Order: sequence, then C-alpha cells, then structure tokens
Amino acid sequence: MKTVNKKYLTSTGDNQKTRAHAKAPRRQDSAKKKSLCNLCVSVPPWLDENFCFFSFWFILLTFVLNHEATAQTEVRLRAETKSFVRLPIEVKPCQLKDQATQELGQRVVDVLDNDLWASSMIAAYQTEESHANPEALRLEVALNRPAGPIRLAVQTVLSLQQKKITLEGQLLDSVTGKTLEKKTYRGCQENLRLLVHALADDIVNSLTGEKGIAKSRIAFTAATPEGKEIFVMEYDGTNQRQVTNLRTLNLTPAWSNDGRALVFTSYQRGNPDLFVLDLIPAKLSFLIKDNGLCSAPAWSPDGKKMAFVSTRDGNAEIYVMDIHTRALQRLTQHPAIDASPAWSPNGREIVFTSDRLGSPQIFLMDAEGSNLRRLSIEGNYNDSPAWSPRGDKIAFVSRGPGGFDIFTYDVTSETVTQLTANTGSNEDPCWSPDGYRLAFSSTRDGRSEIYTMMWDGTDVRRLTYKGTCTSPAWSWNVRPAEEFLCKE
Amino acid sequence: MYRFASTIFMRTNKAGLLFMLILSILAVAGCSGSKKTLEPTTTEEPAPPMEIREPEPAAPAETEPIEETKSAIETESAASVPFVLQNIYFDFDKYDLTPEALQTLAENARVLKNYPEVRVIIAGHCDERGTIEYNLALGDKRAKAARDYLLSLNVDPAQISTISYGKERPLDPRHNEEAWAKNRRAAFERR
Repeated sequence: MKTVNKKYLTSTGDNQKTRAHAKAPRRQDSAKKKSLCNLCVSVPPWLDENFCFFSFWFILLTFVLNHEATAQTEVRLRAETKSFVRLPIEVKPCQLKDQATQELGQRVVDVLDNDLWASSMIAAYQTEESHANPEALRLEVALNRPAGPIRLAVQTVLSLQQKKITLEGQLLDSVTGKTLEKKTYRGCQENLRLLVHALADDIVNSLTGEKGIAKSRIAFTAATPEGKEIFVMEYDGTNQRQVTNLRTLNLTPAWSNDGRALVFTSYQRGNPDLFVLDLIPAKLSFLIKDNGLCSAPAWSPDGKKMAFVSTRDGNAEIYVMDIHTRALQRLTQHPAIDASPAWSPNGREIVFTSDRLGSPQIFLMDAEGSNLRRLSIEGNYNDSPAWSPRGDKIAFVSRGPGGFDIFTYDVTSETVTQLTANTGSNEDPCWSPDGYRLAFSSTRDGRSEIYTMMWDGTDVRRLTYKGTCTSPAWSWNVRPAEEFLCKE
Repeated sequence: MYRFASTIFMRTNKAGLLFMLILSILAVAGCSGSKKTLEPTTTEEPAPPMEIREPEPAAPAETEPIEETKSAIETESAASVPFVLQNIYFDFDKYDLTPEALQTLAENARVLKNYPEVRVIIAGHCDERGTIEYNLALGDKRAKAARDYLLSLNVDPAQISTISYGKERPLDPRHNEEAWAKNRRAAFERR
C-alpha cells in the first residue's frame, strides 16, 4: 500500500497553526475542509472529503526550530493524547480458503485488532465482539464502540496450503462498497503473526503516514545462573526467546537499523567487549575488543556509525565508530565519566550522560563532539537519555527522593514532564519506532520487568514475567524478508 | 573471590582436589546463617507462570562462601601464596579513595611488593542504583583509582590489571543502605 501522507513535509505553518487545525470543529463546510486537507496533506484519490476530518489528526510536519540551543533539531508533531480521537476501523471476520481453519482465521482478526490499537492512532472493532481477544492489548475505551456505523473496514482472506499461508488484506469503504487498498502477504504458517503485523503496519501507514510498530521487536536482558543473557520479544511481549547463550554477563543490547543484528557488551573474553550478534543466520562476532570497558552501543539513525563508551584511552569517553571502515573518532575529552550516548533522529547530535559537574547530568553535543551544552534539567542525578524518533522529546531518568523515575524533556519548549511516580524504580527508557510509546524497566510489581507506556505516561502495560529484566531496546519497524519464509 | 577457588582447583591434581572438596564441604557445613553467596539472584518469590526457571547451579566452588576459599588457599603449596587482599569501599556515586581505603591499599601494596610474582585483577563494583551503563563506567573509575594509588606506592604495574562489573555482581543482594555500602567496592582477585 502506498503512503498517503508525506512524512517530512516542509513547514507550512507554526505549531499553533497546526493545533488549530487539529482542534477544528467537525461540522465545517466541505469547501473549507477540502482546502485544509490540501494545505496539510496530499490526499489519495479514494480518501474523499468526509475523511478529511481524520487526516487533521495525523498531520505530520517538520519544522526547524530557531532556538539557539536546538538549532539543528527537527521535530515531527505528535497527536495530543488527551484530545485525540482514534480513527475507527471495523475488522471483519476472516474469510477462509483451502486448509485454513476457523481458529487461524480468528487469530488473524485478533492479532490485527491488537496491532491496530498499538499504532496509537486507530481504534479497531471486530464485527463480532462476543469473544475475548486473547491478544488483549486494547484499552478499556476500546470496548466503547462508536454509536454510528464505522465507515472503514478491513477484510482479510486467509489461505493455507501445505503450511504455506497467503493472507490478503483489503481496506474497504463500507458506504460505497469500494476497495480502497488491497495487498497480499505470503509466508509460512508459523509466521502467521508476522504476516498480520505486516498487514497492520501497511494499514496504519496508508491511513496515517506513520510507519506503525507491529513488526518491531524489543530486546532486553534477563538474569541466568551464570550472568545475564539477551532476549528478544515482539513489541507486545509475545514470542519471548533467548538469543544468546554465552553463560556470562551480556549487557545493554542495541538493534541495528535493518533489524538483522544486535550489538551488546559481553564478558565472554573475561573483559567487557562489544559483540555483534547476527540473528539470521545466528552468528556472533567481535566488534571491538580493547583493554578496558566497551559499553553502551548506539547505532546512528542512518546505520553507518555507532556511538559507544570506551576506556581505551584510560577514562570512560564517548567514541563514534564508522561501521564500514572501523575508524574511531573520540568525541569527549574530560577526566569525568561520559556515558550512555544516544543519537538525535537526524543523526546530527548526540545526547549523553556526564558527571563532569559532580553528579550525572545530561549533555548535548554535535555528532562531531563540538558545541557541548547541558540540558537545563533540575535534580542532581539525571541519566539514561533517549531521543524520540520524532525529535521532539528526550526521555531520561532522574533520581529523586522516591527513587528513579522517567521524565521527558521537550526540546521545543525546554520543559520537563514526569511520566512515572511512586511505582518503584523506573529506568532504561527507550522509544517505539513511531515515538508514541516508551519501553522501560520497572520494579513496580516487585522485581524488575519490562513495561511500555504512552509518551505521556498513560496506558502502562507489562510485557515480561521473569523477575530480572532490564535494558529494553526497541528496534525499528523492520523485519528481514527471510523471517517470513518457512525454515528449511 | 570465586576466581581464586576455580583457578586453584584447576591447577591441583585429583587427590588434592578431593582433599579440598572435603575441606570445602566441611567449611560449608560449619558455616552458619551469615552465609553470603556471590549470586545476585534471589528466589524468595514464587516463580510467575511464564518464567523460564533454570536450576540453581549444583553448588560448586564458584558459589560457595568466602570462608572455604581462604582455607583452600592456605592448603596450597609454596607456589601459591596464602594471603588475602582486602576490598576497599566507596561512597555513593564517588570514586575518590576514603582514608580507610588508602590505609587498606597501603597494606595491599605491601603484600603485593612482598610477592612480586602474584598477579591481581582489581574489580570495580557499584551498588544497584543508577543505570547499567553509568555504573560500568563508575566501576571502571573505582578500579583505576585503586590501581593508580597502588602504582604511586611503587607496586609493579605488571602485577595489576583492572575490570569493571558495574552493578552486576553485588556482594549483598539486598536493597538497603547496608547492602549498598558493601557493594560499592574495589575487590582484588588473583589472576
């Protein structure tokens, strides 16, 4: 399916103007609606003016801020959670062909329902809501189906032949009966969920211009008798599997941009080195082995560089490595600790933690190491920065009297918002690929587990039940093509 | 400390191994409630349904209390030296050496200079508060602070190397000030 909205439209107005669009009353004369549509988004031929209302909510703009401290930052607007109305879609019962069973068909519908909710933009309602969806990611409000008829609908057709699956997805306008989009997905029966994820992401992308998160995965660490190993699960906590078995300490995983590899710190050699684990086919290799510590890897948004912390020159400093040439560039020069580098989404800046002022604080520098400045955040212990893929917010952890909690720093307004409070220790924030959710570790239920929440702290969901889970890392929304195929 | 025990077991012959195993078992049996294990995992809570439970290791030398490690060292022949280098401890989020730490290091320096063939790794550790990444760097700072002071006392640099375990290997797995104070340490391990 083709992308409807342009993701990086050049600026057509300032922030206020866009919000005014978003809050426009529903009843307007159609000419005005049309003109607003044309102003903000490129409208596909099937999306008539009656759909225009919804597209106001999905306006995505890029504008360059003029503030000195954030001169290089590009920001994409996000829908306001409180006033936001999800676009309702009806998920029709799956049509079955060949050997496809009722059970598989219901699974398609349940996973799709779940995935569409996870997009944070769409409200999916199954035609028959009588059964409990075991996927159950949906919010409480999901059950409040709109009173009137739902105009958009998804019709799926599932065919199964000798373990090979063909899944057809159609986006329908139930008033006109027209098919708006249609796409077919092929793969192995055991990868049914993944095929549905791909369909869900295409629907989300087609309607909102966002890339969705259904194909994304979260890597994390969990304790084993010999140390810690790396695990991978889907964005909603399903299909948890252990991907390393090195029987030592393995820490701080980070995804490659293509979703094919994880880089992490391992003590396999008795020293904390950086390793790359290719997932398809599984292959472990050294990335950097120094005398001393190598940790906190972070792939640049273009996938060409990696920032990390090394003590190769005697002290914990931040370095950037060119992935192809393996050339190293040292970015920080200070006898204090510099740690936890994270890239801005345009790759031009790096945010990191340093205790050069006596306690851990969050600093920004250009990706070449120049133009160093401290973020104006209160508190004497701020760490673990993570820059939203939308560019607008930097999540971080602050230590207060009640323990560690997650906050966001708004790059535009330079304001700080607290997302967690009075719920144990909340740490390791990382963003979903659409920038709408955060994964984090928390001890709110006793022991450390991985959770996700909306960017404003609402809708917290627990994903793990192992007791020792830390260091979540959310992948980009990509899956290698091989993952769809049957294993030989 | 477990490194001591494991290296020694590897070096000795079978009879010696058997002897030391008996010693170890006696030491374990004699050890009372104040037993400290090096494993950070706690299993007081019942396992949630999805947990992949792996059996606890069958208590080899690696997870036994510190006491029998000492006895094992003392039974070693002259090739291996019977002594213990004391840990030093740090304040929260600090890597400068306290007066007590300086005193302990001076003592450790004397021992190291008396046994120039001995090689040690100084392992820097932190308490559980703060991020894994920051604590790895902090542990590195702590180990190097200890090393640098030993070098200033003319200990042979070839005798010392450093490693950081951050907050990954607490001595005391509890979550209180007392445990945290024990865990913020630089520990000496024989290579």
